[in-house]
Amino acid sequence: MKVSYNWLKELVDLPVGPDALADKLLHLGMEAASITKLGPQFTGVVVGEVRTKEKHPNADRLSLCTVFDGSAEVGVVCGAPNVAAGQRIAFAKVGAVLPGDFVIKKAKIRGAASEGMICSTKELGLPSDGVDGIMVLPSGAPVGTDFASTLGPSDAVLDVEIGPNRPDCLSHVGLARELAVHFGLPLKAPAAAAFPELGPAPLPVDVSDAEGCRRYTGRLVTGVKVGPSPEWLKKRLLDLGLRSINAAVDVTNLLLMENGQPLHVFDADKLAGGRLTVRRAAAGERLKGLDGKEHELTPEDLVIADAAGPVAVAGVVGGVPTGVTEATKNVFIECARFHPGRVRRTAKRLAARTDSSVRFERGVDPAAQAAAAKRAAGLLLELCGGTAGPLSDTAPAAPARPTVRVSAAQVNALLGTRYPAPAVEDVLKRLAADARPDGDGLSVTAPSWRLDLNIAPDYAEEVGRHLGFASIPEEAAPARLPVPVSLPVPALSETLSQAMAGLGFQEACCYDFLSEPELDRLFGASASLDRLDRGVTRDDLARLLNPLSADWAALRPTLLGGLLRSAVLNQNRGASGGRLFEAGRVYTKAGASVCEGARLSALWWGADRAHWKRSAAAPDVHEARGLAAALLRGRALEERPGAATDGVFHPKASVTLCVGGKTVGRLGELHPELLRRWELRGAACALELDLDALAAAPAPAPRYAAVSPFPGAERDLSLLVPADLEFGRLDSAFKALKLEALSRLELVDVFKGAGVPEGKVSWTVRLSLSLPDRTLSDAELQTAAQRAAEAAATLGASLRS
Amino acid sequence: MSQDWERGWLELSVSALDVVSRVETLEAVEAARVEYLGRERGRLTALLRGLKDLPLEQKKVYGPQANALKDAIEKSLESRKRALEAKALEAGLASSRVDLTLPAPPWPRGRRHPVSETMNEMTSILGRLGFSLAEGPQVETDRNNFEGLNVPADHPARDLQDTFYLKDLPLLLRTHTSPVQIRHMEANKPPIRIMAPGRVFRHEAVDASHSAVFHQVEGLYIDKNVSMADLKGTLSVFIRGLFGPKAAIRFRPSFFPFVEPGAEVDVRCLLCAGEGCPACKRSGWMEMLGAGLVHPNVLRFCGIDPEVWSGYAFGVGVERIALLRYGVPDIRMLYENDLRVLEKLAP
Repeated sequence: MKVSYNWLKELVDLPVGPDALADKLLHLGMEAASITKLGPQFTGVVVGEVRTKEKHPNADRLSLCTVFDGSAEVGVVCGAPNVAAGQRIAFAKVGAVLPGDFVIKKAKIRGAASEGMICSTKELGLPSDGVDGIMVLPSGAPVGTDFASTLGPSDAVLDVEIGPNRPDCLSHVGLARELAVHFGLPLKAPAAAAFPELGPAPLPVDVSDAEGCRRYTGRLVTGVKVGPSPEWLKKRLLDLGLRSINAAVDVTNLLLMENGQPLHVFDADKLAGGRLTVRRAAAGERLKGLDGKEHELTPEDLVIADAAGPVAVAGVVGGVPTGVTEATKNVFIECARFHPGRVRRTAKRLAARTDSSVRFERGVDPAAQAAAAKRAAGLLLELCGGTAGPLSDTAPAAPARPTVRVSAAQVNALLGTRYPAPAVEDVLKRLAADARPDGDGLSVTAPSWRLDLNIAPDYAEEVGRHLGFASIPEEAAPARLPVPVSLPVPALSETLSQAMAGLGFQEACCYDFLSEPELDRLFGASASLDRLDRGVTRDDLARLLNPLSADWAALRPTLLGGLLRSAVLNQNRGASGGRLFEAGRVYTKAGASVCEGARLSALWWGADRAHWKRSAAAPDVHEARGLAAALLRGRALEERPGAATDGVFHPKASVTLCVGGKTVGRLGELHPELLRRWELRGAACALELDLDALAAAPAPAPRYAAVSPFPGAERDLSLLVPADLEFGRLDSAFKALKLEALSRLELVDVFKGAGVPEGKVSWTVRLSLSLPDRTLSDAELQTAAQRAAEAAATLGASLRS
Repeated sequence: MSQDWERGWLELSVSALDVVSRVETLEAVEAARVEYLGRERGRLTALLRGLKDLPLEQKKVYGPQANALKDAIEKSLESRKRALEAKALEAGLASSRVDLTLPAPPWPRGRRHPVSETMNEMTSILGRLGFSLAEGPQVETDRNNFEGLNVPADHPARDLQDTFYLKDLPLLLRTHTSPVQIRHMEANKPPIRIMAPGRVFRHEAVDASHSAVFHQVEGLYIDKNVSMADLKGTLSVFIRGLFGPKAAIRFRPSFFPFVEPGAEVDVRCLLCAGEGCPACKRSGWMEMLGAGLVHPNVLRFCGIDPEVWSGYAFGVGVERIALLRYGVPDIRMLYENDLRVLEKLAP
């Protein structure tokens, strides 16, 4: 809200200037977002007269002038082309301070003494007069008078942010009242002029929707002559950023800024049928609003209507046809109180947040309407003449405010302070004039405008605010601590994230949303995406009702979308490859709710950058399997071939991961078609883990296992095997031998080419053998190798000689 | 016979050790070993073998002497060998060449995201202050996100948190981590001391300093006789833990419907230490978090008697702190995942 410092100062005798006031307000919980200085921001400038003007002996463009400042004549060097003898000018004397803290000093300019400055509008920070050079004043300007005082007072406009809990501060009187409480000063509220109520009675008003309209007061002022507002009123509105319309409308705007009570004026002669109704709008009723918009109304909206239809949207905006113009003769003043929520909903729906609706939706002082209506009529009579009639009022009695007992002990307990009782009670008495002693504290009733004061903690805050939050001490945290509980899913997510970073992956942070084109790229021709715990069709996607943009159409059903988007971004910025992972939530509609899942997904693509120590390798499914094994070490991980029912993964080069028969993830190479859709070049692998499933799956606690103190031995078998033999069959065949000493079986080399016959491949399998209680003999080793070779032979493998 | 032996012995006992101690190559060591101690033709071996043919008296004299010589030669050979090997190794090392200006192959090591890193540091500090982790869904109900937090429908305070709503569902994206307060208080009895880190969503235009998706860390403490001073003490420790022992905070009154009294907590500007700079809009202070005593309506909503229990709550934005810590100029960079940017951030 824009606040004029001068206006505030008329209402309460502020002991501080505008900047210090902003600081005060900050510590009262109202931050001034900006301070705009208005009017003359200079001192020491007087009206002067140029007595003589000569050319500067040492400079072509400068003049030597003598200036009379009302008491003395001084020499001044001036560079303006328009300076002339006999002119009245704005003269900055030595010691004057111009905007920007520019202090005028005695100077020597090109050898000539200069004691002061003849000013231009720009130098004084005044609006331009369009003249190139100094400001020339009217010839009648009295020489020697303070120039600033001839321009009217300077002012500062503070843009103060008022929280939604303090509608009472949304006006100058309201803010002045707050500051009066704070400084312990009297409030000088403007009184309504007394006037005889000789005019006709107001139009009858039927309130058919009493929930929407809590109070409606009205008054007729007849025989007015509506002209433009006087200058002082125009300026006051202009300084606060409001446009002057005409004297009658300006009165309503001025009073809104003065006391926060919205008012509306109708041209009484344009109200049809001689009576008004406050009712719900009928569906389809329309109103051309004073905000320039044509509003289509619904029964949700409260309207003021005459016999012909709505004339105003209650509390939001008046209608053009019944508005007051310079042709208006008789004015009907409305001063009402409407339901905050109803005004809010209507203003929101009509996109018509007005100064009026903002105040109604936050709550206006229920006791203020009659007085505000009277002040409005008084001002109208003053500016437009006419005769006022009596006031009609549907609810003269304001609702009672709660009375609360508040003690210093209570306040100190809540704030943790040690304020003495008199200090606390002093604040309470300033807040509520009728505070009465009650036990060890005071019984206080909130004033009608303080809708936010209802319970004891509200008053504790008030005391803290006015005595300063800085006076609240810092206490050490109490030592009584609940036993910390560990949450399995976040703990797992953190452990795995840390491990992924250790394994060379950069953690990503993606938005939770996907666009339709991104969804197209993810789904492809597939009807359903695999979320690991469920399939997700496009109908299952949780979509936003009000996305910020088309990019944020739906909540992500998989983390891969964001990772793919990031990979493409990096590719487009020149990266040849990368490794990313993210841990986060995925979302799917599930009946009337949304099912969230915790996931960790990784994406790596492109080749490692070539390096002299190692050759570049493209990501493949085997690397992905190794990654999963390292990441989930210690868990009984089962791999099931294929993970591509949804076309995300390569149909062959992918694996579903299970623990205890339950799916916990999938991994592998991404489907070439998916990569084509995303325009991601080169091979790419991904890993997706369902952290909910993984946290629920059994993870055996690490236990000590005995290691053999006897040395083990290794035997390599070089086998020629049929090219189509799966390693798993060989592995199973070896395991089926149940060799007691076999502790590990590794494939250490795979070779095709020179020396290996067509249709065969050479595998070197390493058997590690050991026993817990003794060293194996050569004969035993020989037998084990022999039996392994025989097992291999049953699969068509032969030992290479 | 014994004279031949004695002649041989005399010659050997005088020269052998001297010869052995002067060998200069590993080959010469081996040659000397063969010459004197070789199994077949070693000169000392032969003498030792001949001992048995000597008369008893001589055997008694020469036996020990010859064996002692054998030990001495062995020892000397061994020591020469070791010395020569050491010399050879040293020479080898001295002549070896390693180009240490070659680029080392990178060990792949990833990084946590600056937001995770910052959030983890916050939860780690709060964890040490006795706050245990709690969490809740990111898609929430109006009841938990607003109503239970003393923000009824049509309340103007809803303007403070513009909201994403879901299509066809009576749900929204949580605008703050505070619904975790409601969920936790409804499911648990006081005393309660929890922290709830997580993602939140605001329906507002994205620019360099505003993100529609961001993270918060919520703190909630419910016990008997909890005061603003307890809150101030805890936050002061928290902020100093986060920004260093010299960090200072101040409380300003502010309005959040779910607390009363409510405070905005500022931290003395981390860039100018309070002198005033563009980052703190020349005020010397940076707005850092919102806090206050839990409103009795909120406690009551969760079935906790506000006459018996009181508590405080606070909520800190993570991104703003991450931007400050890492000097990132634009919040959108945190969500773009440009590897060139991320690889320079976080330890």
